[in-house]
This record gives sequence, C-alpha cells and structure tokens, in this order.
Amino acid sequence: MDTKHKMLRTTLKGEDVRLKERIDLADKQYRETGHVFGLKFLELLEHDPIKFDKFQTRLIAAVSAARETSKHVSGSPAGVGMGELLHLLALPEGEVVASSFGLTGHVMSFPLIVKHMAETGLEENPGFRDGDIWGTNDPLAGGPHQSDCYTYVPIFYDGELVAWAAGINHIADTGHSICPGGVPAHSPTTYCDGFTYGPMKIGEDLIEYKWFERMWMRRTRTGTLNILDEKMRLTGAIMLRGRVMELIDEFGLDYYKQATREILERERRAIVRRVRTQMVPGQFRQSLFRPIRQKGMMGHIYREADKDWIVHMNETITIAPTSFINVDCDGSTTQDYFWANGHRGGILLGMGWHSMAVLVQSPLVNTSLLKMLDVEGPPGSIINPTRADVSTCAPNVVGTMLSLLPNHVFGWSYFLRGFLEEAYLCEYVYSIIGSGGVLKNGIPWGMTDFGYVGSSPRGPSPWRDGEACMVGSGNPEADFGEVEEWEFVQPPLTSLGRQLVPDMCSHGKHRGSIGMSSAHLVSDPGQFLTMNTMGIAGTDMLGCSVGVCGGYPMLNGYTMYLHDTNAFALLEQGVSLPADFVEAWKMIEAGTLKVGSMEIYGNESPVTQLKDGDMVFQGLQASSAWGEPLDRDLDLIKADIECGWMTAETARKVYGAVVKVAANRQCQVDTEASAKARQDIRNLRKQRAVPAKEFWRKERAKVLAKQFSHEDVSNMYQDTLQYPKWHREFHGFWQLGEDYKI
Amino acid sequence: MTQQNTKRYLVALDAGGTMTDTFLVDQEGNFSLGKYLTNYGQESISYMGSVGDAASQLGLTSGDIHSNTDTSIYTGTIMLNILITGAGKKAGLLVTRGQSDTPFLERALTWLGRPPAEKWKLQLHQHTRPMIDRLNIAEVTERVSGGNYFPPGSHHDAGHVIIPMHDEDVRKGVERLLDNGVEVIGICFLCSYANPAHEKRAAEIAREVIKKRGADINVIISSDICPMIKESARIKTVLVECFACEGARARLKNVEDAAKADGYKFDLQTLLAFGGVANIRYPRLYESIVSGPTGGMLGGKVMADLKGIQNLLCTDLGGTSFEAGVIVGGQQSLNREPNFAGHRLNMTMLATDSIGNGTGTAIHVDPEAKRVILGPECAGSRLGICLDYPEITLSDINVVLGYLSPDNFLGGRVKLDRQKALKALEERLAKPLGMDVYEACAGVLDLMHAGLQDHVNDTLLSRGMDPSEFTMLVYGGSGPLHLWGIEQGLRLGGMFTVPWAAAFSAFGIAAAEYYHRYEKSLTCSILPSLSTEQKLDICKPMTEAWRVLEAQAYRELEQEGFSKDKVSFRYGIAARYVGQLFSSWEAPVERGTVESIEDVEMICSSFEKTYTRIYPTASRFPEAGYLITSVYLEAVVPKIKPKLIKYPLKDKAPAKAAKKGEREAYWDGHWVMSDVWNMELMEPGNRIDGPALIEHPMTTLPVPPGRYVEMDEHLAIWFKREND
Amino acid sequence: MSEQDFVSKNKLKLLVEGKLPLDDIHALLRMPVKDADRFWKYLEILQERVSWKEKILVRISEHLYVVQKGDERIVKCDCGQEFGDYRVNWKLSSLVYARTTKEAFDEIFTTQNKPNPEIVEIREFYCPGCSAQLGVESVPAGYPFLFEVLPDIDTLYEWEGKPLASANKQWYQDLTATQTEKWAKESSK
Repeated sequence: MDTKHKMLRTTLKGEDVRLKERIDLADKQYRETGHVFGLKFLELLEHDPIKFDKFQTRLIAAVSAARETSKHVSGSPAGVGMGELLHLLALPEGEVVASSFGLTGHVMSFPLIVKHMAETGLEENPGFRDGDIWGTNDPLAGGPHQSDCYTYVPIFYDGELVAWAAGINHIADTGHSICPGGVPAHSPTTYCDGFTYGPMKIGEDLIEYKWFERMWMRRTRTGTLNILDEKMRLTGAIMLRGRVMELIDEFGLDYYKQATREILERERRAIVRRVRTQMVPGQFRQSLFRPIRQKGMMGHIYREADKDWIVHMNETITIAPTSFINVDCDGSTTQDYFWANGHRGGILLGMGWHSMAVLVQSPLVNTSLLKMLDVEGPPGSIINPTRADVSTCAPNVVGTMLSLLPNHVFGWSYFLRGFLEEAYLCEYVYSIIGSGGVLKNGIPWGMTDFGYVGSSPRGPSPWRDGEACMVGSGNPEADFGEVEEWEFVQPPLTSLGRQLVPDMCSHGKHRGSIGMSSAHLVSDPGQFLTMNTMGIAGTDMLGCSVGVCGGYPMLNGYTMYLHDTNAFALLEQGVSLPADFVEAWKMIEAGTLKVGSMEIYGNESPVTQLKDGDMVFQGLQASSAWGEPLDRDLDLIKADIECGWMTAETARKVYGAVVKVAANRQCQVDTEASAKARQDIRNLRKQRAVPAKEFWRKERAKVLAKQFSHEDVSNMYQDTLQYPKWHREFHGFWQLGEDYKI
Repeated sequence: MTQQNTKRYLVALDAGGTMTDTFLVDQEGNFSLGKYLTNYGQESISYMGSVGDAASQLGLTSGDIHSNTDTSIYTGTIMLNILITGAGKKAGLLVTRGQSDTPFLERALTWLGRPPAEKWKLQLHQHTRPMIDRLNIAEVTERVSGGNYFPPGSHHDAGHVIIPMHDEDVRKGVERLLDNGVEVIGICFLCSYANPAHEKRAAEIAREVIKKRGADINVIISSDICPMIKESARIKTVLVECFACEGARARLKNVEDAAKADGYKFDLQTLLAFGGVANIRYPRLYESIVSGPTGGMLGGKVMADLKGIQNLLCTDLGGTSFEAGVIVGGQQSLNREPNFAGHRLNMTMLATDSIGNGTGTAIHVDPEAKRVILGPECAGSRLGICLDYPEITLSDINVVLGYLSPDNFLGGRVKLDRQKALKALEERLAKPLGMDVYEACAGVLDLMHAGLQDHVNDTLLSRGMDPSEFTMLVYGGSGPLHLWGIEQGLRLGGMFTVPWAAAFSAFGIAAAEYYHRYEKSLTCSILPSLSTEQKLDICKPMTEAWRVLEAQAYRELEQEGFSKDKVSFRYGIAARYVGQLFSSWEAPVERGTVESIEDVEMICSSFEKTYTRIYPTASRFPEAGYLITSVYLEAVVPKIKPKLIKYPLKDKAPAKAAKKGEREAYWDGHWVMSDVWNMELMEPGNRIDGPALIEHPMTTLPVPPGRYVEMDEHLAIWFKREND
Repeated sequence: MSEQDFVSKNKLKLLVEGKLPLDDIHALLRMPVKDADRFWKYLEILQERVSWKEKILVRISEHLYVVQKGDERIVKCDCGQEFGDYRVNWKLSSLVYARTTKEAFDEIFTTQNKPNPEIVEIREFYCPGCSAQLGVESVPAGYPFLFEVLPDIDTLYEWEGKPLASANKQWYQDLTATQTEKWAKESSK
C-alpha cells in the first residue's frame, strides 16, 4: 500500500494533527493530570493483565532481537564488544516504550530529538514518509554527544505514523579537529566538535543515500568503521519496523496505540511505588568539581579559550512527597569555551542510565523515568547552556558525572529505609583513550579505546566492598574486550599491562573497588601518533565531594605520559618494563627507568604527541567507599593483603590493622595490637581535630578576606555565586553581608 | 539365549544432570532406551546401570550387549561437574607480564548465563569461581605483535617480536610454581596465535626445570590447543584443559574399564562440542565440554537427512530450560565463543540458544502492578506445588488444566496432588489478578508460550531466516507437553516429535560422526585495491596453515588407530569485512589451497554466501575488502551409525488397545472431554484427532481441538492443523 | 510463603550486621515484591543495638540517628553523643580535621593518583564522643559544610501509614544558618 503522501493522524480522535500539537497535547495532559497521556485508569491492563504483559514482552522481544541480530554487522569495537549499541521503539511523540540491552541511557535522549524535529518544522519540509531513514548526532538537537549516532525510521501503519524505530551506537571517531577518537578532553568551540549532522533524512525506501557514506569517509578518521556502524543501526531499525507491523496485525491498531501508552503510565507508577516504599524522602546536598586546564594550550589559536577552570557541579536532590525526584543544579559553573557544556540530551542520558540501574532494574526500560525525575539548572550554566558557539562535544560526560550524586543518594536512601540489599553506590567510573595519527606508509587512522569504558566498578554496599570490572557503564552486559582485539585496531600501542593496583582504592568500612590500570609502550608509531584521555573519575580532586557514612569519596583518575625513555635499552639489558604507574614510579625513583620528560594529569589529558619508546599509563576504576575505615572487619583486611590487593603498611596506617605477612603471603592478624593501633588513631583524631565552631571561625575569616588556596578556586566562587540559591546558602553559612563580592 | 545372540550393537549414553540415558541400537536399526540416575564421581555405576536397563528391555544383560558392541560412546556432565565443584587439578599458569589479573577480571562478563531480567540487577552480577589461585600465576616479559587490520606494510607484521622473551622470568616463575606444588602448568602469552615461538621456548624451559626437579608435570601451551585470537577466552580455555581435563579423562577411563570388564573390546569414545566423537585419549579433551542440547542437535541432523528436511529447528524443552538450535541448508551452525559454566571459552561448539523458562519455572504475581513474573527460580525435579516445591509453577498449571495426568507422572510411579495445586493457584495467581483461576492459568500458559514463540522466531530471524521455511522438531521431557502451545503463534513449515523424545540426545550421540576439528588464527586482508600477485601472496599463509593442520590431523588420528587412507578432509574459513571487529563468520570452502585468483574468488564468495544468508543486503560491504581471520579443517574417519528402519504404514485408526480412556482438559476457555491415548502403542500411519492427550511414561503430548497428529513410517509424530 | 515471613526479623538482623550469606541476600534482591513491614522491623533492630532509650525516628548514617527526645527531634550517635536539632547540619556539632597538605593526603591515599592540596582539602568529621569518622568532604577551601541529608520525617511516616502525632511542616526545613548566625553574633561581640 502506498502511504507516502498520507498526513499523520492523531491517535485520539481521527482528524489530522501535526506532530508538534501532539507533543504539546501529551505534555499538557501530563502536567494537568500527573498521569502519562492523562491515563488515570489503565483500561487494557485492568481488563486483561496477562494479555497486556504478553503485549509488552513481545515489544521488548522485538527490540532485543533487532539489536542482537544487527550488532555483528558493526565495525566498531564499542558497538560489538562493549555493547555500546541500543535499539529502541518510540511512540510518534518520542516517548520510548521499549528498549534493548545496551546503552539504555539513550532512552532519555530520543524524545528530545523527536521534539526538536517537530519544533524545527522538519515535518513539513522534507516531511516524514514511509521508508524514510533519518539520522542525527547533534547535541543541540537532543543527542548526548557527537560520538553517539542515531539512525531511525518512522513506522507507518495504514497510513498513520505509529512509531519510530531507532538504533544508536558510539562510533570510533567523530573527526574532532583537535582530539582523535570520540570524547575530546579539549574542545574550545563547537567548530572543533567534528562531524555533526541532522536531524536529517539520510535515505528513503529503506536505502541510505550514497552521499551520506561519502560524508563519513570524508569527515571522520574511521570512515569504514563508521559506515559499518551506520549499516548496523539501520539493519536493526528495519527489522524492528517489520516486527512492530506484525505485532499490530496480531493485536490490532487500537490495542497497540492504547497499550503502548498504558505501558508508560504503568511503569511510571512502578517507579512511584519503589520510591514510596523503599526510600526516605527529604533533601540531600552533594556536589563535585572538575578542573579543566586550557591556559597556554589553546592560547594563540583560540584566545577565548585560553583559561583554566574548576568546574563546579552543585546539586540539591529532593525526594518529594509525590515521589518526584528533582535535581537542582543552581550554583553550577557558567557555560564556556570548554567541553563541559551539559546540553540536555547528555544530561538526561547520564542521569537516565545510572538511575535506571537503581530505580528501574528491569528490562522494562522506557521514558516513564523522565516523568519522575528531572534535572534543572539556571539558563546559561553548564547544566542549561544557552549558547550555540560553545563546544557540544561531551554533554554525556557532564551528565554522567552529575548523575553520580543522585545515585549515591538513592543507594544511601535504601539503606536508611532498611532495604540494605538494594543499597549500593552505583558509580560508573571509566576512562576513554582516544588515539590516532598516520602510519609509516601514510595511512591515517583514529580510534577510541573502550577497554576502560566497557566495564565499571560496582560501588560498595553496607555489606560488601566495591569491586572493579563488575558492571557495564550504562549497559547491563559489561564487557571491556580483549587486549589482542584492541591492539589489532591501534597497532602502535603495545599493551604492557592491564591489572589491578594494590592500595589503589578509597578506604572505608567497605572499601571502594581496587583500581585498575593500563600501561602501553609506543612501538613504531609511524609518521605521527597522538593520544588523549577522558575520564569520569575526579581530576586532581576526588570524584565527588561527599563520602558515604564516613568512607572516603571516589579516588581520582591518573594519566602519565613518559617521553624519551630508555625502555628499549632496558629490555636489551633484560630489565622488565613497568606494568602499571606505581611500578613505573618505583623504577623512576630507583633510577633504572630514565625519562626525558613526563606529563602527569590528575585524570583526563590533552592531546599528546608520542614517539617510539614512549610509555603511557592510566589509573581508574577506584570507586567510593562506604563507612568509617576503623569499622572494617580485620578478616577482610587480611584477605585483601593475601590477594595482594593491599599492603600491610596501608592496612596499618589507614585501618589500624596489624598484620604479619609470611613469605607465601599467608597472613596473621594481631588482634590486640590492632585494637591498640585503632585506639591510637582515635586519639590522634581527637588531638588533631578542632570543634566545628572554631574551624568555622578561622575559615570564615579567610572567606571574608577572600583568601582562597588557588586562583582557580576564587574564580569558581566568583562565577558561581551569581546564582541565587547557591548565593543564599554560601552567604548564610559564612554569614556574609550582602555587600560581600569576590 | 545369550549364546544365540549374534547381533552387533552400538551403545550411546547421554548423562544429564539427573538421568543417564542410553540409546542402544543393533545393526538392523532396532533400538531400546535405558535410564539410570546419574552418579557424580562414579559415572561407571550410572553407565552400567543405564546400559543394563536398555539391555533388559531386550531381555538381555549389559554383558550380552557389551560383548557384541563395536562402539560405545559416553557423553556427560563430568567437565561441568568438575568446573562447578572446583574439584580440578591445582594449576599453575605463565602469562605475559601485566596480564595476571586477566583470568579474574574475565573481561567483566559477570552476567554470563543469567536470565535477562537479572542482568539489569547489577547487585546480582558476580565473577565466576576462578579455576586457579592468583598465587599460582607467574609473569614473563615478552611481547609479539598480533598484526592489524590495515594494509600490509602499515605496521608490524603479525608475529613480529616487539619484546624478546626473558628466559629468566620463565625459570624463576616455574620454580616458584613448583614450590607452590602445582600439578600442571599452562602457558598463554599475548598474540601467541600469531607466533608461538615464545610459548614453545617457555615450554622447553619449563620442562627442563621440571625434569631437573624430578617432577612429572604436564605443560600445556595455548598455541598448541587453540591458536585463536582473544587472550581472555584463550587463557580460560587453557585453564579448563589444565584444571578439568586430566580428572575428566580419568573418570572416563573408569567408565571404559567398567565396560571392558563387562566384555567391551574397544576404546570408549566421547562427544566433542562441535558434534564429532573421538577416543577419550584425544589430546584436547576440553573440547568434550558439551552443552545439554548438543546431542539433540545431532539427532536433529539425522532426522533432517532422513526426511530430506533442509531447514530444521531443534528445540529441547526440559524442566529447567528451553534450548533451540538450527540446521540450515543441511548445515549445523557453530558458536565460536561459547559461554560455559560462567566462562567464555575460545573453542567451537554447536550453536544453541538457551531460551530460559522450563516447565518448572516458578510464577510470581505483583498484585499492585497486576504483573505476572515468570521465574527466575525453577522447581526442577520437584515440579511444583503438585509435588513438593513451595512455589506455584507452570507444571501446576499443566496438572490443573488437565494436560498432565496426576496419575501418569513417570509412568504413574509418582502421584501428583491436583487439588493442592488448584488451591495454591487460586490464592496466589487468580485472586491477586482478579481473574477466574482457569482463565488465569490458561493466560499464564499463553504468556509462557508467547515467550517461547518469540524466542523461536528470534532464533531464526536473528539469523535472517523465515520461520515458514523451517520444520520444527520438539524433544526433551516437556517438549511434547508444550508443542501445541508453541505451534499456536508460529507460521512454521511443519512440526513433529518422536516417541523417544525423552532420550533424544543419546540417539543423536549414537548418530554422530567420528571427526576432529582444527583451527588456526591468521590475518589475510584481501583488499579490492590489491593486484592479483599481492592477493595470492597475502593468501599464502592459508594454504600453509591447512597443510600444517592436515599433518597434525594425520598424526593424532593415527594415534587413535586410523591409517591415512581412512581420513578425509573438509575445509573452511572464518572471515569478515575489513573493519568489522570481534565477529567473524564461518564458511566451508571447496578446496584447502589458494593458488590461483579463482581460489581467492572462491574464498570470498563462500564468505558472501554465508554472510548474506544471515544479513540483509543493506549490510553488505564488499568495497571494504575481506579479512580472513582463521582457517579450519575437519578430519573425518568412518564410523558405524544407527540405521533407521522404514516401517510399513498401518491404518489411520489406532489399535483399540492404544486408547487409555478420557478426561477433561481446558481448551480455549472451555472444559472439553478429551481422549487419552498410549503413545507407546501408536503405530505408523495412525492418526489421532484433538481434543486428545497422548501419554508416554516420560511425557505427554496434548492435541487441542482443530489439531491432529499422524505417525509416519519413521515413527515421527507430525502435529497438524485440520484445515491445512 | 508471604514476603513478610520470607524476610524474618532475624534474617534482617544478620543483614544489618553484615553477616547474612550472599545467597540469602540474592534471594532478597530477587523478591518481586518487598516485605511491607521492613521499615518497622529495621527500627526495632536498630533500637536494640543502642544502649540509650530515645526512640529512633530514622537512621541517617552508619552511626547517626534522628531520635525523639521529649518534643525535640535531635541527631544522636550510637555512642550516645548528641548533635542537637536535626534541622541544623550535624557537622556543626562535630570535631573537624582538614587535610590540606600533601603529607596529610599521603596518610590516606598511598598511590600517585591523589588530590592536589592546592585546590582541595579533605575534611574529616569526627564524633566528639567516640571519635568515629562520621563524614568526609573533599572540597575547595571556603566551601560551606554540605548538609548531606535533611529527611522529610513526617512524609516518611505518612508513606508508612502511621503519621507521627507531632507532625508539623516546621520539621522539614534547613536551620543551619540560624546556628552560624548565632556564632557570627558571638564573634562580633
């Protein structure tokens, strides 16, 4: 049946209605009734719950089949290996009703893209037609960042737009002008952001336009991989389209339209119930900081970006009597010429993929979460950027960092209510390595190494330690791939080690995960090789500002480049090279490892040129701890030492645990000596600490005198105190007069 | 009567989690089945018991059978058992420096084998119990290059030595491992598939050290047993070989000894994961890791060949799981990275998808959300409320709706309590949903069947195949019981089951071929831009690899008693488009040599054939060129297989004796009186119309109104729609 | 078996003490519907663990509770130490030690990836009674104490279906600034 020239029809009354009006109507219905699409009563569900479940399971089966089939088509390590691929089914309004495994956070961003299309008149020109293929990766249109590409097709049934079938994945290189790979640590303006497209029509009759393939080849470093990814997303979307039409044949169009809406309202109610019955309502204050350094780096080319910042992400999380969760980011840093501009798609992506792991925890993933959770920030701040010229390359990173804090709160809140089994710190701590260059025979290349994104630690619980490489970053099927596969696509980077690092963790009653590290030797880089890293852990300061119940907050990441080393000479002398950064430091201090120059970064690094024999080290995945270290069970400490995850010195210094280690690593705990050591630590605390009042007086004096430890710190206060709520809190706490200005 | 017994026999056993099944067949194709409770640790007991049971059906003893048996094949869960209980050897391991944690981090696959719903609960993720103690791993400084996907000359060639091996590391390491008292040593270095030199030398040094200390310890290197890319899976594979194989071989030897003591004169054989059988002295015994349905898949292959079915979907439905695998164009599909007992391994296994929900699956209801939740727990042999499990299960529903007779479970040896089940379903299912109990029961069954239908569809669609081109074979204890429900929502080419459905795996094992499979990773990028000479040059390694593998095959098969002239070869490749990663597709090729441009085209087109069989043309990308990632070789030798008898067709109407009576069953919202038949008395040609319940001591086959079944000349029971 | 029986008080007690076997915890995680009386069982268990008599209204950390004392709702440590009205950040009644130097950082962060003392200080908050470490902050100098949690206790008890007699909107507001205001006045004298 030719449906190309039919207009959309409303799913309600039968007359033609524009998408824009439909979206506005849905928003209005929710605003006024508090129920999705104003559905107070779930007719189909009440009438035959089992048929309803059957329908919903079928939808989910359809999207997962689409993903499982298409993923093998991909070229991208992220797509296939790390499961950074998602297929989803959305209503015409953009609400997602079913999602596959994979990067579930995208469920939150897709509605924005549809909304954007409706608002920018794409419905009239070029219009939506059966068989169209659409695509975008533009954060200004709702995407999380340029690396995440959306390919989606409208589904028409009997001439009516009934759904969108979408495929999303993270590509290997976006053609960023400064940083190869996909997640740049430095992006002074949006004009550096790489290949940014759409929302636009990229094919018709379910065949993609040839010119679009050419764009990938022309504008990115990994054209071939990116084209294969495009094919992967499309393959799944087309399959899904077919399955949905079969489903409508089976259940009937009216049932389909009503049921898909009831699904959203039912799942919304499920979230309400979870919050009501398992969490503690109230107001929670958290924040985190992220230094960004560009001064002297961008200077001559991008004067406007020649600055350093301490980016402030300030959050007041409220769990309201209605179970609605609000994250107010008043007091966060102002948008600027750096990567940290949190356009909404990225914010919701980050918020979504964390929160779903804590609030939804089931395959019934959809946008109902957005009805119960919102993030707000004053216009002009990084949480709510208003300018189009600043970079849009990493809103997802902002969103992911931002979402750490609400998730601490959720985990903690379960604990306060007595659901300890559910309580844990859901922290996605990852790092991305971007690399690229030109090989000796002139072949240009680029790659994003997901070896340290594909998995994250699982944060600690009130009853268990954190553990590295346990869960996926927003993906239920964690997978960080294999060294041999990674070297296959980035040959100049030879792995020297991928291992856990003793003592690298945040300490507490239940310690954070033991951190992981990577070590690479540069071997035959060809004509040139550059590398940069980007991570979710803190930079030069801990990953978040509040430790839970007396435990220490997430340890920051680490990147170290060693240039002009004597690596090859050492190997000839039969000396082994270091397999992580701690070993590297030992060898440097011992004088065996000679280094011409080194660059050290508290987490992400700018683009660095690497030569033959240079070495690169990273440290990451050390999550937050839970509870007071002196409460830690001595047997757990013993076990850590026996596994080689902790040294006896650290056990003694931090935990007051006195443990004797035998040659075969068998350990003996001295209980009495430990009791005494712990008492000594308590005494030391008493002796070093001062009453809060005294501390407040001293610090207040400094604040009044505007003496801050560092220029970047005072700049941060100066900038952020322009926002009203934070201003009130700051002034109230330090009791500053209205005339106080930094 | 023993002395007159001149028959020759083939004996095949499948030892499952609970029962050990025997399929015993003589040279004319007459068969009998045996069952015996599986005995972990002392498999020889359940082996003898099961063979004895099958023999007794013929009025014979196991001795009568064994003394006339040419081949006995035993397949079981010994390996699985060793991995799960951790009762393996104390292994030591040498790895490339910096890789000690690889076996423990296991690429973060902490969710393997968990049902989908649980993958979303991150608190349930767990690392698999390791096969080695971290203290027993030693690191060796060395690095070779594994090659890359760029054109030749872009970077190091595959196998290039980047860091020469520090022999001293090996010596020190092995000394330490020996001090720790390891019983076997494995060696797995990064990229050794591209250049085994370091591994081989490390093995030499290790053996010297072992010899010097007068120890007797086996050294296993990864490039010998699985020269394939992906170190994490390769290390796991080496560990399985080190940890489990010696023990497994010993236990298989016990079985063989028992058989020989009973009159059997030959070597015991066992099934390998890719579907071949081999002598239990086979060097790479880790390949005998067999997932439940493998045997069934082979049985499916036999039925497919017998009935000339091109595309067959084999489904094995048991109390705890539902598994499916496909035969396409007469070919079984293989999984190159199977997950087994929580480990991802680097080996080739017949591909089957676990589809979850068996008939013992517990049912939960969330009253507020009015949601029905199936599983994850499973009653297994405890069935449900109707027997002695605390939760309501699908089995309870089968009893309550009359499909399963309370008096016919295990041929009536165990009685089921229908009233108790009904009461529980009323309280825990119907009330919370506000539905009539029978409607609710039928609904849940429908929900479960819908799930199975979807999975069946996905199994086919995810391979790009159309269900209507497929025939479905249903077996396993609960297969026949749910056949009618699965059939409802599917448009399949046909559906059938067999009277020996409950011992179908053993039947498949009896029918397996005797062959070894060898594979080697390599990297040949056949780019469109290259000249003919360059292409041929790039393909050289393939030809070389095939020759090496052939030599190895001859050697090993000779040790198993087969002369060269008995051995025939099948060749194949695994390939992908240049730029694709992590996945390759396997394609059989006509010749094991690449010497002309025609050969190169033959290679490429056989890949295209496989690829387009699976994916829409939109996903083809020949412009990128082809990357051959490995070549494989199958070395086949002759083996006797069961003959399948073609019986004469009898009347449509079954014999009176076959009718057991009648009882009410709940069909489509109504209670309908349904005939009850005895499956064992059904004869070729018989047709039974629904509503009917066809009972077998091991299972029941319900036939709804509007459906009927027919038994054909090979005893296959076909399930059909009246108006078709 | 009902959810309530499934999560016996004893099982919960073991969970609170960190002694419940992992398999049992997994079983709790797999419950399709949670036990409705969990909060009350939890409060009983917590109350039994402390030596003092004041009624626990809600737990706010490993060691701290909001308790009913007369007609006040105050924060109390399990050691018995009291921190005053729960609407004022309890940190104002604690002992504070701020790590501001590399040496001080080295005591707790032993690998090279550690914060930079120029831009961040690590504040540790101790109980004046038992010296337990109750909280840790990692913030730039001059940052106000973070008021980690102000529970909406009356809503909580409403959700549990047993509103408190003393319910009142006044109970849900941040009064921290009133305390610092007092201090400011004192110091200006």
